[in-house]
Parts: sequence; structure tokens; C-alpha cells
Amino acid sequence: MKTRDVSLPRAKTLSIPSWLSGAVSLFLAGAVVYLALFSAYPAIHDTLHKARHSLAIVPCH
Amino acid sequence: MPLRLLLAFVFWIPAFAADAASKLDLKVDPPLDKIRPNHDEARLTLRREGEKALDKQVYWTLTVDLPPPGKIFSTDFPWIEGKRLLEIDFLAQGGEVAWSAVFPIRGRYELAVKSAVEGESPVETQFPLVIGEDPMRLFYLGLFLTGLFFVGAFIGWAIPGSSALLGLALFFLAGAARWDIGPAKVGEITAMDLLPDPGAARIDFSILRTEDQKRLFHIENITVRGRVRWGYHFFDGSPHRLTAAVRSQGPASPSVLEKEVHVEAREPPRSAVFTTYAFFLLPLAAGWPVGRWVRGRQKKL
Repeated sequence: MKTRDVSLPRAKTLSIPSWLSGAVSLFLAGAVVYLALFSAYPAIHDTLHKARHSLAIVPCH
Repeated sequence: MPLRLLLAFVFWIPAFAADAASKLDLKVDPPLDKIRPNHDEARLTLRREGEKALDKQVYWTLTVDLPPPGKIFSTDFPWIEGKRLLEIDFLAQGGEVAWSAVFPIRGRYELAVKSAVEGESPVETQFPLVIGEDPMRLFYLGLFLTGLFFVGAFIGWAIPGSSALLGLALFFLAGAARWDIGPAKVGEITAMDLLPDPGAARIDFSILRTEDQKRLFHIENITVRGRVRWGYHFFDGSPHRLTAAVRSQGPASPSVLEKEVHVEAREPPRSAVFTTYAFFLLPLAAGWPVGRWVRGRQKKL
């Protein structure tokens, strides 16, 4: 039985620079803080209403 | 006896009107330094000294002005800062009047009182009322800032990045807000009129915030002479219930009038949001290089 080597094309890997992933992570963290404490969207506002008032300096109304 | 004297000194704030012959005392219960804003209901009692007032109708005019805006940070109700919370004038029998109220925000309130009795010159006095911030709120704020610092440090530790990109991220984030300001009642004092029946003699009046059943204002035994008019600044954009218990001259039980009031909320001012948000981003950004530094030291070891 004959065997034959078959070379498959290598899959290309996409490398994300570490500075970009760090910056995106910080951006997302900041966005979560904004949405949680400053968003006017009723579902978020009403859910976290007490938490906003309990932080003393978050303007709510 | 000395303890009584001390308590009397602490709880009865003497009026310091420009007129040295001021005859008004204010009692606040609980004491001002124990009152937490938007939480505790305080009982305020004004006492006019002098025998003539005891058996007469006294005409009172009360106004309460809210604390001015802070230098850096706003309170949780920024629209009401520096405005009027309450204005009311009424008649009451005798030389003492009491009401209950919730102080919505921290800071220095100004209570202005004018009291007039027939046959005497009116007395005018101002009482500064300083309400401190709730210590638990400050504790939660410290806890939250610490948490943000550790989140930033974790990101710096787990995902090394560039400080230049951090600044860029924060710039875009700060501009991503939506600033629609709709029709609102918060930020304006609401004038209210009550027209009782001719037989009405006295009224008890209260304002209840229905979402947490918190009584925000209550006053009793206002003597009715025609229309009763007052103004109140609804500081919270949520439903409220006004209740007026009207008593007649006779022994009949009071008739109760209720009215639901929906107070429209208002998005906070852009400047107040930006200041607080930027302040919250600081520990997040400060934690990040610390996390990177820890990561670098771990690699060297």
C-alpha cells in the first residue's frame, strides 16, 4: 500500500496586539460603569436606582 | 439637671435674627448631625415666646431654600440645588407650630420664618440647617472606588496595554452619553392650592413618595381661612401622593382628600455627569499601570 504525503495549507492566525486588547478591556470597563451609573435607559436606571443614590455623588434626577 | 441644660442647648437652636429681640426658637428632632439626607424624617418645631401668642392665631410664613451646588461634585438631585424646597404661609392657633420633612440632599439649608400676631410687630428670623452626608454612602463610595482600582489593576495585570490608548478610550467614552432632556417638573417648585369647604376649620397635609412609602413632608393643624396655598419642590421624579385631612368645627371625623401626582424625572446636567464619571475613571486608570507593574515583577521572578 502506497502512502502519499499531502501538504495542507496552514491556517492563518490573527494576532491582536496586546496594547489593543488592554485598551479595549479598559474601554469596556468604563462603558459598563457609564451604563450602570449614568445611563437614562429605564430598565438599567430603575434596576440600579438605589445603588446610584447610595454612592452620594452620582447625579440621578 | 446639667444634662437637661445641655440637651436643651443642643436641641433648641436659638434664633439669631438681626433683631436682638428675636423670640423664635427652633427645635429639630433628631438633631441635625444625625439626619441622613433623603432618608430620615425630621420633626421641626418652631416656638414663639410671649404670652400673647398662646391664645391667638399666629400667622406663619415659612420658606426653606436648598443648599447651593457643590464646588466639584453634585448631589444625587442636582436639579434642585440652590432652589427653593418649600414655601408656605398659614394660620395656626397658639405660639408653636411643628412639621415633619425629609431633607433631600446634603448641605446648608436656609429656613426663613416670619411670625406675626395681631397687636405685635412681626418677628423674622433665618435658621441655617446643615445636613451632612450619610456616612454609609461615603463608605459605599470608597468601596466602589477601591473596586474600580482593582478592576483597572486586573486589566493591567491580565492584558498589558498602552497608556496612550487608555486616554483615547476615555475620550470616546466620555462623549458617548445621550443628553436628551425632556419635559420635567424636577427642578421647579410646584404651586398647590387647596380650596376647602366653608365649614372646614383645620387641615393636616402630607406628601408621600409612593415608590418607597417615604413621607417627605407633613404639617398639622393649619387653620383654614379660605384658600390654602403653598409651594413644594418635588425633588424625585416619581409618583407622589398628596393627602389633606380636613377637619370641621364640630366633632365629625376629618374628610380626607387624596391626589396622586406624577413628577416627571429629568436627566441630570451634563456637567454633573461628566465630573462624576471622570472621577470614577481615575481609579480604573490608576489601577491599570499597577497591574502591569505587578505582572512585570512576576515575570522577572
